[in-house]
Amino acid sequence: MAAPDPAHTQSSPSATAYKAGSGILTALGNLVGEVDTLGPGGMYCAQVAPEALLGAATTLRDSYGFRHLSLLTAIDHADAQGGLDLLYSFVRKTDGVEVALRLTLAKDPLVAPSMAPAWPAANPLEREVFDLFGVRFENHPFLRRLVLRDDFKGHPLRKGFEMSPDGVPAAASQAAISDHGLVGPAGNDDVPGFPFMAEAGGGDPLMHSERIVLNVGPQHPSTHGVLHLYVLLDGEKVIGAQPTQGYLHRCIEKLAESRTYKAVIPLMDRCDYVSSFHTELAYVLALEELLGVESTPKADFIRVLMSELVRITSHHTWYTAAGLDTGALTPFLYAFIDRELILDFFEEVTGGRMMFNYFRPGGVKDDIPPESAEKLRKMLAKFGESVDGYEDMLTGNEVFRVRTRGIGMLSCEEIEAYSVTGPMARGSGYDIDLRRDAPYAAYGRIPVNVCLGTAGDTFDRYRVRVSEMRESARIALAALDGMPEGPHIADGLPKSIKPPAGAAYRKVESPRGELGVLVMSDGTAKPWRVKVRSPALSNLHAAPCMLNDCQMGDIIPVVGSVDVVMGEIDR
Amino acid sequence: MGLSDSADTRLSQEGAATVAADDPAMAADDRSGVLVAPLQTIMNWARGHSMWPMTFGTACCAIEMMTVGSPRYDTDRFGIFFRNSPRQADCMIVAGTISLKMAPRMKLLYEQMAEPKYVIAMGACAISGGPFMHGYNVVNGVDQIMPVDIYIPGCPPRPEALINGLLTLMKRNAAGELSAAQRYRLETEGHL
Repeated sequence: MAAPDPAHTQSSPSATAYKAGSGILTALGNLVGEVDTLGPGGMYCAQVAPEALLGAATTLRDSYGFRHLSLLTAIDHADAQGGLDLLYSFVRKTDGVEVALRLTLAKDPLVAPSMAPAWPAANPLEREVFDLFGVRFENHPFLRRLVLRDDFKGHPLRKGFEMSPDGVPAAASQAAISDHGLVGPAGNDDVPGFPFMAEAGGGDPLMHSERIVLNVGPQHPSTHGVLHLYVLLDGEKVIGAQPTQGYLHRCIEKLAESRTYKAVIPLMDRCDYVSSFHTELAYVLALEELLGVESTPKADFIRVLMSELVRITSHHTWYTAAGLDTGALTPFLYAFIDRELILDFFEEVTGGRMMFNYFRPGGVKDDIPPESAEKLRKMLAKFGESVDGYEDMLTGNEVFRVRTRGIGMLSCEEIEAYSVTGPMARGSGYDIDLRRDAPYAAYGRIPVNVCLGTAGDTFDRYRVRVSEMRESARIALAALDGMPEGPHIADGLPKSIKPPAGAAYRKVESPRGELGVLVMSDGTAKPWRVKVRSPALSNLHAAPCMLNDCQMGDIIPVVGSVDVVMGEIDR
Repeated sequence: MGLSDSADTRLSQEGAATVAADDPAMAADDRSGVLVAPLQTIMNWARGHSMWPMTFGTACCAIEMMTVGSPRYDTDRFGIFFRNSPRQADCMIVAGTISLKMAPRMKLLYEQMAEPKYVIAMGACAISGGPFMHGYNVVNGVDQIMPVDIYIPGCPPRPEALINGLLTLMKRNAAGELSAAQRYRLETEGHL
């Protein structure tokens, strides 16, 4: 593929990180094949053979320090043999260098080695690829559909999958309500049973207890959306947990393939509906990298402003839930007063309260009206007092402290093993934040203080998020004050967007962690593949580590501290 | 225990008089504060002034559904209290996309609700599948699965729109109209 365009790489924040990756991939020697870039101006990527994949991945992790598995997905070739590419990307924490490996499966049957035994973070991601693409991962501990019903026919992200033009027919929907679509493991080698279900029944012999499996969700007043957990209990003690998901799988990645590039932005809004700007931003950044265009300086600052404001509203929603999870209703009442003030600003600027459709390649849709900016400035100047109020309600609250301190522990080793990012990682003192480590938009021009916890319990994750609200208000104010004059969108962009063939993967720091979007173009007006890297998915699958040895009553506060948004997890 | 000349009595006398003034079918006994009316009239009056929706938020709309309970919109003033259990709820607000995996659970919860029960389809997804209607995993409207009383368009609808929908439903109840479920049952049994 084409070499990076020098004019573009100069100011692209990732360019230096990309370049360092090339040397590392070459140094892997005969573990990898040809090294090229994902797309124009993109990340370096090495071809790897199936038998060398595990060796290359573990060498990257153990010898070069690439401990973070950022992306694991597939891209269909749509050729006659039915082959596809598996794409893996790894990040090194110390300098933010990112490299990718590409494993080509030439033809059916699609079988690849599983990374899950060596790398727990790969477990749910490989299940997702199995579910949506039909790739069988050898030695995977639990290869079962992740998002779709067990009785679903076919693998929908394959290009050959035939969709009915009008969506699911009414008859099919009505047939679906007759059962839950679960297929039992008995007599069917394709569907393994849940790993810990076999342990149900036998309890502690001294206590004469019995182990039972408790279903939490998918519709439960405090499960934070349509999350479903199987929890194995011995008495009141949790001894195993398995999140299941897919109750909000809305086919966003497949639908994106049938829309023009600009029409994908509203779909991105609905991915992470609590902080829509972040998914939009990651998508638009990836698209800009593919197109080789840059946004205007003013648009960069507007993007930072909007990202930080939406982070505050997202943390408001989480803070509300944190209170409700531990039995406090009052935090909801106060947080939503301030949340409305920020939504008013969004509405004045973008026209929408939650779904914005505001970022565009090259800039943003509209400028900020001066009177709205003035109103926001006044609100942000007093925002610290509001956060003081939030802290008065929970931080020193005896009930809240007893129910969160020392509960739901997550160690730094588990964070690396499960690719945990965002406030969950920072709550354990794991110092990562893409706004500082790999600045995008105008973050390079505004200093970002990373808020860190120490203990790694539910309480420290709470403290990190509350501090982030203060920090976000400060950054938003700095972005408002430092906003340069000029156009809010670059001139001369074509009306119909047709990026050159290639792929781009860009990441932003969402309120839940590292949110990435991979956009792949085949040179036409519609994307070949759009993949959203969901931070909450990886974080959620670390929940069993946190839940072990908890009491039953702690399940909801601990899972709540993950801050799940199912729209983004299931897509 | 009879009513004596206390503050309670005065309150019930005033209350009965206020309610009776709204409805010609009701009469208030001035001395005791007792309301005299056909049972159905009193039931309609109660259903028209108190609506307990069940929280059934699956997606983006759920956030706006939370917002209607917040101080700015404050649905408590209309007698609308969110309940977490289907057995305590009058109406189900389907707020969000229903996937094929979610559909059986939604039907289960609907069946657990006591009669008379109402369904509000909030937002484009619950009405028709919305932006995801062409997908392979999305139910194209909850009315394919259960009878819907109120449709609230929007993606997501504003909190004011949801309040308007709930008030419309309450007005219908006060007027004694049939719920969609009752109408459906009567129609299938050939009475309508």
